[in-house]
Formats: sequence, C-alpha cells, structure tokens
Amino acid sequence: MDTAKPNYNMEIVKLFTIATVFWGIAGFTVGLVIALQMAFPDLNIEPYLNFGRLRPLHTSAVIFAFGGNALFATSYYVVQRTCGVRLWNDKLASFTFWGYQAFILMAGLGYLAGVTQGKEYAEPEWYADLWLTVVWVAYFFVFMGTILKRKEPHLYVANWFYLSFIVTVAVLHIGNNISIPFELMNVKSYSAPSGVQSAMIQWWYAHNAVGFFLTAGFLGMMYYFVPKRANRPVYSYRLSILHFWSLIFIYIWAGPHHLHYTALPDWAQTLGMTFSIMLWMPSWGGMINGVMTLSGAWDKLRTDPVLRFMIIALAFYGMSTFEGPLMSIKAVNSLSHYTDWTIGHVHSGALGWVGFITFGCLYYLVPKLWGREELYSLKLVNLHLWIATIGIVVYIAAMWVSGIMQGLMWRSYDELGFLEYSFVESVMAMKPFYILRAIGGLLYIVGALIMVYNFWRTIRGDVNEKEQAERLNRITPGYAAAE
Amino acid sequence: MSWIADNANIIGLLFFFTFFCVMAIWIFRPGSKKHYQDQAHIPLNETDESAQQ
Repeated sequence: MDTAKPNYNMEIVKLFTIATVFWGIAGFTVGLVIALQMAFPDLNIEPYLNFGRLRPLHTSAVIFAFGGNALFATSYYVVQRTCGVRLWNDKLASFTFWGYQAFILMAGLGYLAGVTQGKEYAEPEWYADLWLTVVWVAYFFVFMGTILKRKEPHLYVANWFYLSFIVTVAVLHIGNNISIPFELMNVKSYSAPSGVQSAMIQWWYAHNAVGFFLTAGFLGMMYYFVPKRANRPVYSYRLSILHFWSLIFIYIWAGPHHLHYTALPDWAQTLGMTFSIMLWMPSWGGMINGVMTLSGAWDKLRTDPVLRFMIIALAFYGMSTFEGPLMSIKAVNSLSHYTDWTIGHVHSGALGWVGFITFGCLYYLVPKLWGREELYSLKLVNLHLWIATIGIVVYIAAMWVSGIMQGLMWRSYDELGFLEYSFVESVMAMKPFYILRAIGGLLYIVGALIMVYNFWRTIRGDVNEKEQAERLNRITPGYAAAE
Repeated sequence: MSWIADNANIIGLLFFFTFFCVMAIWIFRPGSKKHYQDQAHIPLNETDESAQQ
C-alpha cells in the first residue's frame, strides 16, 4: 500500500451526495404536482399549495437543491482527486453543507408562505440572499484553498469549469439581488434598479444561471467523470481549453434574448440574439469533446449503462443547445416566446443534460464513496435509463406540439382582422398535452426511485450475486463454470 | 483616464478578442502536444482506485 496517499475528505462528498438524491426526488415530485395542476386546476389548494407558490418551489428544488448539491458533491470530489490533496478546512467545508441546506429550507418555506421577490430563479428574499452569499464565499474559500495547496502542478480542466461556475454565480447572485429591505424585521424588499434596467439585470442573471450553474458546473462533471468511467483521457485537451474560454466569453452576453419585442432597446436584443447563435459553437465543441472521448471504445456503451447515461446526457446537451440558439432568433422567438415550447426546451436541457449527467456521476460515485466494488445492480441502472429517456421524450414532444399550437393560435387572425381564438380556447386545446407532460414527468420520477433503491442496496453492502457472476465471467471466461 | 472611460467599449472588445486569439494560437504552439496529452491523463493517473481514506 502507498502510505503517502492523500487522506481525502470523502465524508463531505457523501453528505452532499445523499442531499442530491433527497432533493432530487423532492423537486421532481413537486414538478409532477404542478404539471397535474396545469391539467386539473382543482388540485390548486389555496393558499399554500397553489401553482404560483409551488412553481418556484419546483424550480429552486431541482436547480439549486438537486443541481446545487450535485455540484458541491462532485466539485469537492474532483478537486481533491485531481489536485492530490485533502479538501482545505474540514470545518468550513462542513459549514458549506449545513449552511446550504439551511438556505434551501429558508427559500422553500418562504415560497409556501408567499414570500418572493418575483424574479425568476431569484425568488428568495433579501435575508435568504444574504445568507447564501456567506455560504457561497465559504464555498469559494474551500475550493480555492484546496487548489492553492495542490500537489499536481497543472490544474485539470474540470476545475476551471467549477471555479468559473463558483465565481460567476457569486457575481450574478449579488448583481441581481441588490435590493432594499422594507424594514429590518420585514421579509419584503424592493429592487434597487427598476423598469427595463431591472428586467435586463434579471435576465442577465437568469440566463447565466443556466450558463454557469447548469452548464459550466456540469461540464466540469463531464470532463472528469466521462474520462474516468470510460478509462480514457478526454478526446482533446486543447479543445477543452478552447471550449472553456469561448463558452465563458460568449455566454455572459446571451441574456437579452429573453426580452425580445419588449421595452429593451433593439440593439441590445440583437446583441443577445447574435451571441446566442455564436454560443452554438462552444456548446457543440464541448459535446463533441465529451462524446469522442469514447472514440475507439464505443463497445463500452453496450456493456456499461452508467456510461450510457453520460453519453445520452451529452446528446441531450447537443440537442438543447441547438434548439436554444434557434429560439433566440427574433423571428422564431415571436412564435415560441411565452409558449410551452420554452418549457419543453428547458426540460430537454434540465431532464436530459443536467439530470442524466448527474445520475451518471452519482452511479459512478456511490460505489466508490462507500467502498463497494460495483453498484448493486447495473440492470436496474439500465431500467432507470430507458424509463427516464422515454419520460423525457414524451415530455418534450408534448411541449413542442402544445407550444407551437399555442403560438399559432395566438397569432391567427380571421379575414376581418380579428383574433381567431380567445385565450381560454388555447388553454383548453392544451389540456391533452398537459396530461402527456405529467405522464412523462411521472416516468422520470419512477426512474429516479429505481436509482434510490439501487443506492440503498449498494450502500447497505448487498451484492447481486447473479450480476456479479456474469460480470466476472465476462472478464474471465469460464469463471461461472469453475464455481 | 477619461480617454479610457470614453473608449471603454472598443477597449473591452479588443482586449477580449485579442486574449481569445492569442489563447487559440498558443494552445496549438509547436511541440505542445505531449504537454496537453499529459494533462489529459491527470484524472487517470490517480494511484488509489478505491476512494476510501
């Protein structure tokens, strides 16, 4: 045994991993509830459980609680292992865990009580925002402290993505939450900027929450876990550097595409559209880099459902980053904006890319963290994969049809120039698609519950003897016969 | 200093554009192939395969 082996802090990674799974199930379930509320309005239970309060609960739970804990878990794991040192400062690392969970509870309970800033993905009020700032600075110190004491001279590219995510999210969070509390003992605050400036800051924030929280951070995962699981180096390290700088330089300008045909000056709208289209290149560069890591080892896709999760995640990433620039074009946006097409687009990125790359990483991490040879069952991983993939396809296909139909109904005129349809007619026409969407979401949750069962058996130390024998037989033919 | 403030747009554009071009050329400098291949192997070079302490 190598005695010089670093004493990694894996306890903190375990905590964040469990939190990821817990909040994932919670967030997906709230998503299913609000999907059903859209189809069956009677399910709105006033006042605490109506759609307006549950919708931010769903988005925050899946983005910040599920996605955020996944980013904490994997960044702490990757930075230790690629720097060859223990995570800096155990106490501060532990504070980031409990502090972050406290933020999630403060935000979530606030929504149910009707406390909100009314800014999409930035709903928490001033007291929760200040607390998150403290936690985030601690996160930065832990991550940076580990990088500074590293033994490996070069900083592996996954850490670049993680660091850019941490720094940019801090800037975005502070920039979009400058507000003045109504009074010290009151939860209500007022935004410092107003009007179109406030709207532009909000969408600069929200689009880069997608760009840096849900993309850069998760690309950090991709750059470590895809090569690890495939046991091959990333396809091109040069491309990964080019990918990094082009992605972060371009993403930051794309926000104005959320404000097409509004009071925002036309030049700013065109700027946002242009940068969104340019963004296609780094996105696909990164996707190709991830997928091509399997070059020469494509057979692994046939035998390893965990790797399959990661590669399907990259396929969804490629698809949603193609769709996004398309929708940012003003002419297309005039049809797609404010419709369900947007919801479908977000979910092909969120369920397909963010969800699947996270599941892939978790399936890799859990046996490693708890010292198991392999997951309890790879067959269950495969079952999860296909149930969830069918769920996503049902979801996004329903939203494409419903969104385009909705957009076309809104812009239909009769021969006298009157609107062809009333608003409520477009709502009634969407009902079957809302039900289909809920079915897609239900399938996604069923898949995630299979994952929970698999993790529970893995962590408990159960060994699926049939699968183990098959695995060993593949490595050493004749093993089963010799038994 | 007011010259910088007055021309901040074009200075910013040139700065970022130049940085990007220099970076793109720099990573393809001759003889750097092995350097980048080594870096790509960082995750695969870990000695302990079980994550246990």
